[in-house]
Amino acid sequence: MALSPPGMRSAAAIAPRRLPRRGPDLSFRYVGQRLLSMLVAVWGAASLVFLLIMATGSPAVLMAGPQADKAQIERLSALYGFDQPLAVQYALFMKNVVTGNLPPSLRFDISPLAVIGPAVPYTLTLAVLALMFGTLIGLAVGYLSVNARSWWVRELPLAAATVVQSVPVFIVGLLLVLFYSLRLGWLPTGGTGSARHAVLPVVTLALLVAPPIARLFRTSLQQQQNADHVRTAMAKQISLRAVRVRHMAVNALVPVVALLGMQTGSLIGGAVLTESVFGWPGLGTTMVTAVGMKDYPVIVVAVMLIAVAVSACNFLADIAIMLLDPRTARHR
Amino acid sequence: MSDADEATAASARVVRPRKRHLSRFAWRGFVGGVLVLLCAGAAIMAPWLAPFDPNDNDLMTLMSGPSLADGHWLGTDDLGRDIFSRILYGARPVIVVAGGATMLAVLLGAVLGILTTYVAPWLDKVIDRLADIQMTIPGLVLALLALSLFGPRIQNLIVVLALENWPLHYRVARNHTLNVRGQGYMEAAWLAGVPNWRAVPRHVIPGLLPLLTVTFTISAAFVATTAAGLSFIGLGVQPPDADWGLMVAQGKSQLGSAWWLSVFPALALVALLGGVQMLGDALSQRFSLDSRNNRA
Repeated sequence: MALSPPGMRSAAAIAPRRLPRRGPDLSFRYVGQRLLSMLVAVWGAASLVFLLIMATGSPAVLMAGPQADKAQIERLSALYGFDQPLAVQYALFMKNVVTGNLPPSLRFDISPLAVIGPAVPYTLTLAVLALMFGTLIGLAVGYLSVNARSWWVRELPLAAATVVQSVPVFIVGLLLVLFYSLRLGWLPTGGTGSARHAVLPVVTLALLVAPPIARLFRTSLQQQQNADHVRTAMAKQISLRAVRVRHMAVNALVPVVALLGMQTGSLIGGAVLTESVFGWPGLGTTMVTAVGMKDYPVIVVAVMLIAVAVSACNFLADIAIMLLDPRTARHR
Repeated sequence: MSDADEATAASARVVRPRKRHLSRFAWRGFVGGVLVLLCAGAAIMAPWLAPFDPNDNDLMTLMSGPSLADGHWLGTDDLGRDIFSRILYGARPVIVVAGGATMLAVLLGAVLGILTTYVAPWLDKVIDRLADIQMTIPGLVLALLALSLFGPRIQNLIVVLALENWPLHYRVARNHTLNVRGQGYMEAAWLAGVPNWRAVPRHVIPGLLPLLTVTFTISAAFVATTAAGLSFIGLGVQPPDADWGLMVAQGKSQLGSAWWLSVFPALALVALLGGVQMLGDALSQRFSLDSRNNRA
């Protein structure tokens, strides 16, 4: 060993490894597994909601409201089976969730789905736009923080991201309103109606999405810098930009996509707060109003809807990761 | 700069000089600690520091701006209450909720983490599934549901937030316990006939404490943010009492005419959350708990 020149690897390390047989990228088995675990998660979330409702004592009392008399409570109990044993109620609850046979909204006396329905497109618009812009900003900041030549461009945006990360969403929103709406008068303070109304809510939520992405993408890029395949690419005299984009950035994207999947929850939590700052008539505002009015069916249905949405996003993120890095599916 | 960074810089064609850190003193951790201590001090010393009673209406000075002249340094709100005093008192609920909930979460996670390694290994799978299920309902939304069902009382808030945040501590505690259990000295203790109930407090828990301190600060930042959000939408401390999130929400409608109603409590909140976050970053770097060793 002492005689071998420095930098020389042992023969075993140089010998070409047998490449594993390459299967199809999108294996049905993996997709099925993920789909199944998504369904289990949704079922679990429904059970959790059921347990919470049961823990309050009687759902009939909650639904009837404070000024209801005994007969009314009993009528409700009989109607929705609240007088049955717990196991039967559980089965009933699950059946009602699946068939959509839900107790009506206490405020409007229509199906909670009809109350929530009009709000969904608003929240969807807000969340999708914010996710898009936030991801783009985060990726740009992360990429620059590793690759930019100037110290300022490397460090300043990242420092800004770190600062923004510790400011709660609703405060970010209020500060934006204070500056852009009240001081400068450029944009409306809240409400809907035009594309201009959407700017501040989307920016607010995007500022929640971007910082964690920027920080993770940076770390992930830095790990790529030391990878063997990057050194090989460098040795092949591929242009620096091509190495950075094709060999580093794309690989570094895998953990970012995983983070995106995990962050759907915090995105929705952030959307609830953002909507409440800007009076954006989405799911969050609907839920907050329903909480104020003690409209339990609406709250429960909204929570279930959010659980389904989050699980679906996790599922999509899993599939995206598998397409980006097929090894994840084979290693399971 | 780490060796890895230098190797990288050398392997890239553009070798750039990077600034070395002038000292090894952890400034971020220090600043974070000072901010947190300031907030804790305000919470504890509020009755002595506050120039006015936080719920006292001074009807002569409704919505007066910040000034040194009349004693209302940060102005008064629409009921003539002194903002500065309310900010001092408002530190209490945030700190009690965040501290209490995080403490409970850490305890729960640590106890379960040790239990699953030593007493009931099968529990681990169950807990993993539970944590997965919990992930599908965002923290804020689950808290919103629970608080609307059980009422927005401070005990409920603490319990809900604790139940949402224990999985992190559980994983750290379990990994550590599993790791220690495989060590030679634990085997030696077992061979010497030391029962688990003595070996665990002696050999497992001391190594666990610094790790849990780190996870405590990390999750305290989460909990405080969620708690502030909840009180902003009206599910935290209820109106007559002072609370930062609530004060921000109450001042929201007067943002144009009286910005100080919202901005000062918001700044206090930012100081606390930023402080906790900085402290958490510094501690996790110190104990290299996570992969974020490349500091921002």
